[in-house]
Amino acid sequence: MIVLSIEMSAVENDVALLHDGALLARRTWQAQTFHHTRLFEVLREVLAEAGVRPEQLELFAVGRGPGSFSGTRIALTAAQALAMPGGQPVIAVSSGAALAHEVASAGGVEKIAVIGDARRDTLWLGVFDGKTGASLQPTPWSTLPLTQLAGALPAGARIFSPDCARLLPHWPAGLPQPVARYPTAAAVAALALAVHASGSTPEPLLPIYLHPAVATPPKR
Amino acid sequence: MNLLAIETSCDETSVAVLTAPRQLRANLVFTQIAKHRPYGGVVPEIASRCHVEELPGLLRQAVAESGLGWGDLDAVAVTHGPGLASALLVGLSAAQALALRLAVPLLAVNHLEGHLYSLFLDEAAPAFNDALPFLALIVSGGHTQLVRVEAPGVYRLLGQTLDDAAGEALDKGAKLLGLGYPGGPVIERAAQGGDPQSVKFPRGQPTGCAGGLEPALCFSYSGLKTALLYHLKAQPAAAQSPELAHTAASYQEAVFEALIERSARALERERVKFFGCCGGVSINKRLRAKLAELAAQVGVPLLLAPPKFCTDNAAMIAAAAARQLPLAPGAEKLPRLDAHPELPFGEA
Repeated sequence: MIVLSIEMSAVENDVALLHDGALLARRTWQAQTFHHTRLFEVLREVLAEAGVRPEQLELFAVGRGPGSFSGTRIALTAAQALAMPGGQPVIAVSSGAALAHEVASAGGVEKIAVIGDARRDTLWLGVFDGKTGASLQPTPWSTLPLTQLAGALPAGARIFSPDCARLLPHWPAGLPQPVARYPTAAAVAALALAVHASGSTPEPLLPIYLHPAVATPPKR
Repeated sequence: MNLLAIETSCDETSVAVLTAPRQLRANLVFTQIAKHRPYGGVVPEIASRCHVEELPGLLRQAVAESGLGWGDLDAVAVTHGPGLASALLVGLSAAQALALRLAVPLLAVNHLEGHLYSLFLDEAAPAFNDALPFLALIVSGGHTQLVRVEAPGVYRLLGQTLDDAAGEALDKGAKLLGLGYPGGPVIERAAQGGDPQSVKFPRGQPTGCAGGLEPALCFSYSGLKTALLYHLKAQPAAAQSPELAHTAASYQEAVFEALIERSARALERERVKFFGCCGGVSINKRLRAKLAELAAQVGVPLLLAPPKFCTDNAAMIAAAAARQLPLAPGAEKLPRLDAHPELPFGEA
């Protein structure tokens, strides 16, 4: 099966083209405000490099965050539009969960905490089993202020984050610093394929929003 | 030539399929007004979330309704500005992906050029090229411009607003009067039976104008809103029935008088075959009556679009894109398109 995977939730964007799990082509680039559409150049490059025509793509995997709204919107919209004429499946998975699964598959970590900047003075946090990569929280993502992170972390958890540049300047003394790590398109594809194969209910083809669209409710 | 067009520049998600020049096969518009109404204006983040949710379904439905297959499409067109950056990005992403997938040209359209072409979608309208040259008054929520249309793609900007657009002036007035959102239709309703001359509001005539534009053809609506604010402070009853109808009618009249006065001056100076008015504000019946009066006075026929083509829609984007086909030799078939929130329109 030829899979195109798009991951744009963090500052490091990643696209991978895979055939039965083997990497055919990959591009990684830095997200740039106002130049979000580098994705479409990248798509042409990876297709050309692998000698694959767009209509030959059989499954589309997309990371839906948490993370950049613009990045995840572009990725989700592009994947659906690419799949539309041929009616191929589009599977969206959590980018943070993909990151945790990749860490888990390398082994050596008991519990994996994935955090990021949720804006509005909060973090997003997910905690995953170090062996299976399965979520250990009632809901996969919770939000909390950075000052409460130490209390929310289970014992033995190692912290990973795609947002280190933004978080470290405010990092509390005494708390182990997060390991800088980005979700990869290959990890997103692996998780999406597992969802596809299991036949379980896929996640919505929408970014993961951890706040309402408007910070202040309307005046009545 | 079959074009699929996408418009997501503001708070309408729209997809159209057009067989050029004007066999409109589908024109679906998902309007988000209800979601923005509680906030008294368009909230960009709400608009973007809504576009992502609605656009894929609209694309499938539009193609299904068109009676064409995906393989019958000859080009994909999309609005690349002006508009809300994060809203534009959604349409741009879908359009670029579809053009890549279908291996057809990707055409970028200026939203305001789309409004010009909205005047020619109706079967009763003349063909665009038969109407040249014409004067266009573009009046929407975000824009107020007077443009001389010389040829397809050749637009001379004669005048524009220095601050608020006519639609914004109506939105802000409606907010001050406690009438809700969007301002145009609620003020029009409140103004019914009111005396438009009862309160004398300013007509916002700028004395100076940037970019080499003639001040006599430009607009300024910021003073009008302030005048209403002071009027309501001095006479709180003006926002209550029965005075409300007079206040609303007078306020609306001031917005429209400015449009009519500047258009009259432009029509005096420019020899044109037609006078067109497009954009959401052009739905207003009082404005339409005043435009018809002006057109009759100067002896230039008036062009108006049916209301469904006045507010944002992808049909007008498809119509405007069609002039780019066939692609000029050497033109990039799949240009990389970024969002241009402040994309200019017309040359001074």
